Amino acid sequence: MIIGYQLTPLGRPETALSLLELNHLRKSFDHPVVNGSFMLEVGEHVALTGPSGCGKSTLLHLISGILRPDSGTIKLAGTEITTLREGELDLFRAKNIGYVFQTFHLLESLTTLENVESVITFAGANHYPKARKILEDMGLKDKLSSFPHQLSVGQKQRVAVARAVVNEPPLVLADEPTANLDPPRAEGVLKLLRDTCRRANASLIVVSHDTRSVQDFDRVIDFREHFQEAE
Amino acid sequence: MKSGSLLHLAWRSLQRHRLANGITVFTTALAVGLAFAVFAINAQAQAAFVGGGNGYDAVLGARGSQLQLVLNSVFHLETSPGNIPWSLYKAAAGRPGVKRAVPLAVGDNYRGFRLVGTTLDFFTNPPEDSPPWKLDNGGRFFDPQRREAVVGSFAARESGLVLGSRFHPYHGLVFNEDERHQEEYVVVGILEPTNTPVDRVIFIPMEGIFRMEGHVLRGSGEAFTAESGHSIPEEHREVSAVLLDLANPQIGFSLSQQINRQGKVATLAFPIGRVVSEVFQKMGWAHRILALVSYLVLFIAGSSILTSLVQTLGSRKKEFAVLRALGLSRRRLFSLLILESSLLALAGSLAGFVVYAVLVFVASSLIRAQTGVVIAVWTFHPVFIWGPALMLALGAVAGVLPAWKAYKTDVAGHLGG
Repeated sequence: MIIGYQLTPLGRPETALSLLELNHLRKSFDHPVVNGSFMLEVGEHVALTGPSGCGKSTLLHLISGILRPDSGTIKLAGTEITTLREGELDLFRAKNIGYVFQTFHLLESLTTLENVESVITFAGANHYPKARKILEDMGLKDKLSSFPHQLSVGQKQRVAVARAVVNEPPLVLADEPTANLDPPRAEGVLKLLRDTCRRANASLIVVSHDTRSVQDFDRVIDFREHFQEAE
Repeated sequence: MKSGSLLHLAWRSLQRHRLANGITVFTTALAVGLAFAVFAINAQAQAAFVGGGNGYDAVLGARGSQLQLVLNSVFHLETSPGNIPWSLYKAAAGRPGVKRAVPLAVGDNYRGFRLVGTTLDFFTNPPEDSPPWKLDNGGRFFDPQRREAVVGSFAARESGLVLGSRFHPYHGLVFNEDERHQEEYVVVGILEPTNTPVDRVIFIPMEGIFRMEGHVLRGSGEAFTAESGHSIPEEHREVSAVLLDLANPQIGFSLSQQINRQGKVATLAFPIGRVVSEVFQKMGWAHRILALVSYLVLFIAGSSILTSLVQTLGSRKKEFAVLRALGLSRRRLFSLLILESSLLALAGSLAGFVVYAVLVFVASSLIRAQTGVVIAVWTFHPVFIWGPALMLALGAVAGVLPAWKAYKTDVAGHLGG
């Protein structure tokens, strides 16, 4: 669901409109972790790189509203999310942000289909047939009733991506989706993620500590340079 | 069930930890079943015993305990408090307002089943609200002048007596092989089951008790032994008790006043239900202790639900974090855990009915075997409503702590690798 801007029939914005704006965003724990501004265009694919533990995941948590910033603003699809109350923020996140976690974090008690359908329920929508279609399109027709422990790593990746895009969110966040994967497999995950987001016209931010695997993204940003030294 | 709904998530989560949750449900079922049993069996047993007078209103017997008199003559338990002269029976039978008076004489047994001497009136002229005394096919009631017996259904089945069987009674109420009487009786009728203490009794003619070898009659105060071929003078006859069917309660109160307050020879147990209910009142402390234990066990079941959920909390932190990251609100996550604990309590409560069924089957079999009384175990009792309701409430409360822990889950901290 894309709010606040116009799409051409091809699904691309007429002009480069910003989907996400981070202004003077600051978050500290015992030391400043995130400190900077950033803008993401509609449909843009950005890779955030940097060593493990530098704060990349914290930035994703701020963007998704899981963490509240100490200061600064976060405007996503025209909505200033730092002003939303917690309940509003949860629903906003369900509708507008797709999340792919480092180890996919599929819900172990749910089947493949239920994992994807659940986020439709969380978003208050009812386009359940779409969950089945996406999974079938990803070659998981025979695995709809399988539980995560019955899936291969590759199949889990596809379910995680399907779950992230089933609500057609304008923004997909992927936190180290290639961690612990060998290069060919990492490349496969990123390709799947990017292709799927491109088809869904979703912007994508991928956090990765491996700069080689994200070379062909629209932008590759060094997290420490941009968010820890810029301001 | 809609994927991602709280009910769906809760159900799937319980399925995933099915072993631990199965044990919790079993524990809860035992607790609920026990509570059902304590309250329902007590109530139904009380109802069965209090209403167990077979339509008679009062019992006249020897001076002593009314309860012992009722237990002995109506429930065929306990020893007889003694005998009263035949004249008292005749006087009672002739009083205005006494619709029926049936004498009973006890003192012998056959393999532990009591022989009760009575008149044909017991079978052929019972009170209006007495169970119908029906005989199995081919049987008949005894001839008062012959050595014939009519056997209760349970006594027949357990002793092996059938139509035409011949047996020798044994002296006393407790079976002792050395105490065999010489007289031989023939079974002429088997009663159909009545679900009353009568099912455990072997009835013979009153005259048979009087004339049993070794029996001494003291109706006149002097010892008298019946001789074959000679009638027994009425002044020597005596009975263990007289069952009375009264026209109205006023007659009972009047008789009670005369016999219990003013007289010194006999006791009138009236009304039978009140006498029996006094037992339950006297034993009320035992029921209260059992009730307390039941509450405690329900509380323990609630604690086991809490333990079951708390044990899985550690491994579910990541799951909670993912649910929150995917858009499930804190409030709904809290509700999810409450729902899980409530579902465990609900499943335990439903399974509690199965446990109750097993418990009452055993309990009712024991009570029937010991007393002949069949308790109506599936009669509605409020515990069938408030028991599960209380368990559900305990389950919900047990879910509060895990729910609070889930509510406070550090989402960002648990989303890493």
